[in-house]
Amino acid sequence: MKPLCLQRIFITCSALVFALLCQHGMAIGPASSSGQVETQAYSAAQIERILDDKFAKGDYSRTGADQCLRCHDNTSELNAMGIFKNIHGSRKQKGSPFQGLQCEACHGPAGEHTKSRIRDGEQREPMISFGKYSPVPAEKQNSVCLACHKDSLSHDWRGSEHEQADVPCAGCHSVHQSHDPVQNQSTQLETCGTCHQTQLALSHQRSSHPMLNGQMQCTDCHSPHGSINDAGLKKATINDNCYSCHAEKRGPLLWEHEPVTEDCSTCHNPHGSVNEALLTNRAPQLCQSCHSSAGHPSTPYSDNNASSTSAAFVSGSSCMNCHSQVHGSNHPSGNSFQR
Amino acid sequence: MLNEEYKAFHSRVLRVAKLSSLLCVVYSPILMANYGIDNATLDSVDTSKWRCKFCPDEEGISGSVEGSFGYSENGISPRFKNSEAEGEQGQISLHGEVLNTTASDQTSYVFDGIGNDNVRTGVEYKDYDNLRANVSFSRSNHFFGEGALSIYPNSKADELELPATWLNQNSTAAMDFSTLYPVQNYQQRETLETQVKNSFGEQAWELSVHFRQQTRSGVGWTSGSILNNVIALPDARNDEIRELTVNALIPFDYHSGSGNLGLEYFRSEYDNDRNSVSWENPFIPAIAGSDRGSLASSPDNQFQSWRFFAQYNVEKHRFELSYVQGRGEQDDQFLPYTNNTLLTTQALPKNSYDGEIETQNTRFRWDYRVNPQWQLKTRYSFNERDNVSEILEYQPVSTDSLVQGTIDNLRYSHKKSDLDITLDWRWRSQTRFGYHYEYQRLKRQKESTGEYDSNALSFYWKERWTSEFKTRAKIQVEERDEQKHDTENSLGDNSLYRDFTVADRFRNAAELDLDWQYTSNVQLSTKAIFRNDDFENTQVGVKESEEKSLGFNLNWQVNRDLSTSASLQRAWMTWMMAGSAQQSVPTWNSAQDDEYDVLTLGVRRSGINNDTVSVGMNYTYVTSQGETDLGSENKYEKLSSDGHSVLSYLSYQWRPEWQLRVETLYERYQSKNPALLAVNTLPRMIGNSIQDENYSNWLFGLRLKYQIPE
Repeated sequence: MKPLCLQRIFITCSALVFALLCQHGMAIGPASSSGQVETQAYSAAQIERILDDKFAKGDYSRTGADQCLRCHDNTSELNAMGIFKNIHGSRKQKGSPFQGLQCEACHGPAGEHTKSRIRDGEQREPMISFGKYSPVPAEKQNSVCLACHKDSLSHDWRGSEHEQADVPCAGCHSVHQSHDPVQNQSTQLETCGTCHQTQLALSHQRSSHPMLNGQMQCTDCHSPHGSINDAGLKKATINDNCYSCHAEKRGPLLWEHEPVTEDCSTCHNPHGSVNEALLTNRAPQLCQSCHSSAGHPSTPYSDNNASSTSAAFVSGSSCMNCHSQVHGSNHPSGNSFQR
Repeated sequence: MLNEEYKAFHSRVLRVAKLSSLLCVVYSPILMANYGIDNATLDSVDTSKWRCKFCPDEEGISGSVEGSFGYSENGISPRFKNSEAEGEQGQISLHGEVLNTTASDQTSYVFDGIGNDNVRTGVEYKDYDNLRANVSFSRSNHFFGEGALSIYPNSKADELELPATWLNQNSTAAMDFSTLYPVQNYQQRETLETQVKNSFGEQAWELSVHFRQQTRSGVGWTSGSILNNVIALPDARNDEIRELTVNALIPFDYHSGSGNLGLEYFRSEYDNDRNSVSWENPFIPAIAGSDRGSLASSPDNQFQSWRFFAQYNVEKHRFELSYVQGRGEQDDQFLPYTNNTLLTTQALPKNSYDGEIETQNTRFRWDYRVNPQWQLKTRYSFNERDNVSEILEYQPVSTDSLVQGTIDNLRYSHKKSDLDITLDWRWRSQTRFGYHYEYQRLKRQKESTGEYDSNALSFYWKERWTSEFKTRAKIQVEERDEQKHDTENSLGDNSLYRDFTVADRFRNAAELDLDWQYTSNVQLSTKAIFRNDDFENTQVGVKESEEKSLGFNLNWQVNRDLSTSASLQRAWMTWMMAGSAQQSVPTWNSAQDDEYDVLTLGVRRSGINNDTVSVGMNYTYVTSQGETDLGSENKYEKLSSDGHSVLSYLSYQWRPEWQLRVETLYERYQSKNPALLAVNTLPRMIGNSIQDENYSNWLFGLRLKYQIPE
């Protein structure tokens, strides 16, 4: 196949997609007035009060999920049928909502919400809703999930960074989908990146860990449900996390380089960098920020033009052209990391 | 001396904790109402008529199998380096996901083959009660650079020999590079992982065993030097990392609280199958006898640790303790001091290092919810790395030239303590304020720099103005003390010198987040970050650094079928330092200015042709620039990159079970890295000739998916 042919396929397909999108653009109308929009008509305080009352009263529906799914079926904007493709919709899984109060196990007692008819202008009674933009406070949303998820993860959650930041469980997890995107290696970054925008942007830079194609994911290093370690890391120290894949740096080596033994992030930004090798800055200045002793470390290497005498110090791997064993050396004459 | 310091430190911790507790003067036993099922009113629930007629039958086989064909002009996604970046190629791959559900258990099989080389597959088993087990295997490739060339024909060997016809010269200018050998510069990583987790008895004791083996093979580059000759060496790699984690967790109830006690054993082993890279010197030796160099490979190492942890939640308190003790060792054979047979060296003090490190990490956390309004969080951590290897005298042989005297091997140990206290005040349901205090202390041993103390204060304010509009603001001020020098070992005895990582530092930082749900289907969020580090007393070294970033995110769900999204992230970073060629007053200054932008636009539409067709398009633009400035007369060339990527797809649900997806991807990446070297660019330096990272690529993909009928 000729490259020109591929270009044509690309342009044709893109044009087709664009045309279909534009065609629909003509039909863009106001947002639907059902479901979520209705409940927005109540103030957040009103919703919370109604939900508190309903929950205390315990007025559950007479026919359970059957009543809910008459409206929240495949044709609904708030389609709930996807739950049957994951563990929450299983009637076999021990402790799942569908072994108990079904939809109302999480969304609370139906009360008047399932009233068959509502008058014009009348708002349907709110249910407990979930997600980042739910009017229900994150802590109350999460109390629903934590009532069942009582394992070690929920112990970690209390006092965690995400709990402190009022992140609701449903801000990351989608329990009405067959596959929760945050638990999928190739889509997790997108979910985390909705809040952690800087880290997502860094993953696109010149050097980064292979996150974009799903070979690594945020949870390889971080515990989003909380961890006693710094930055929610899985292992006790930054270096211990790095050693999981870069075990050759663990040592101990005969000649050690102190920042390597202490903190990898002194020189590397694990989320990505505009520089090579995820370095926080470019050599030789990165090295010179610590090494200023007499001789060539104190020289201002001012030019990377090939004809310059200093070019050998700034081109290629810069200082690491000669000091290539910068992570430490086990050679008996490797005291300057050249062996 | 050290013990006394730590006693004083601990008493200070205690005082701060007491003071913080006193600040929480309002006491109320009522916790915020919660909607947990264990808190529900279930007296009047009658489920006798609950049939769940909409609920599908769970038992049987479900899932999907998918075959795809991809064709690209220039390799698939070389930007992400996961496939060969050379020439046109077609790839066939298979993806599958099958779930077998029986009355007692579930087994799922996943197979995801990307192209010919990248594979991910796994099996997961679980019963409906307590047992979970999974095995997975993945293989991925990273290809670096395009058309890498080397002067060594035997690039995969540990002994790099020059071709018989090679004529050594003093400089690259006179060398004959007409016959260079292509090097496949890549890394293949294979990961085998298995985990079994089971819980036992009424108390639900939990035991899990996790094993992971990573194998990395391929060819990378490293640099070898002999005096002032430098050669890029193709470096064959064959590393293996094995990790085993055994974890036991015992949940318990005590009084009105509950918690976990846990014990974890971790072992890591690293092996590579060689201990050196040796190369034949392509230059005429400037030092007699230096016709061969040798680098030591990373030694094989083993590390194991025990971790004890405990968590306890009781009403308004949460306690957590973690204690990890580890030990690492390596005992690879030493190489000789030099390959230069004309040098007479002393005997090595040992045949191998027999190196040992001991590590310890203690963390304690106490969260106290005084009442619904006040919450106190405290963290304390202590981390120690103690290198207990033997210190002996070695004979310095610097790049195959003998240096007089002897030198002790370097081993580093450090102790680091960190105390965090956060006081969170929910003034009202919409408003939160927070105060954060952090104290750090680092004690380094056997190095030029001694120790420092650091104090940081931060304050945040979160406001939920309406249920649709939220803001969060945070400001931070940190002062890190001036370090103390041990002049006896100071690097170069330069009193002006400040080590970047432990220099005195004054930090100002601020963050502002806005989260706005404009209507129920339009969401906008922005985030701004500013951080300035001023290394106040530094005369030589980093004097100031600054980082700013601004991000926007927009999501618009136009209606059920059409959604759009856009995001823009822009960041600026500045780093200023001073150097001294005279070892006295600063004689030069440098500034590094970096910036990058990432723009993404996405639109998706479904519901076309009776819900059978959906289309989408995503565009990503990435640009970055890095500039180094050492004054008007000394300009570095800029480092820059630009990338465009357009993905469009059309998906057609042909039959209920069959789905066809057509995908096109265009990627264009332009990079300028003045540091990249040609083979013969510089005198006395032979690079690897990777000069060009640029590419543009069209990819066409066709996927056919079969959904197994339920």
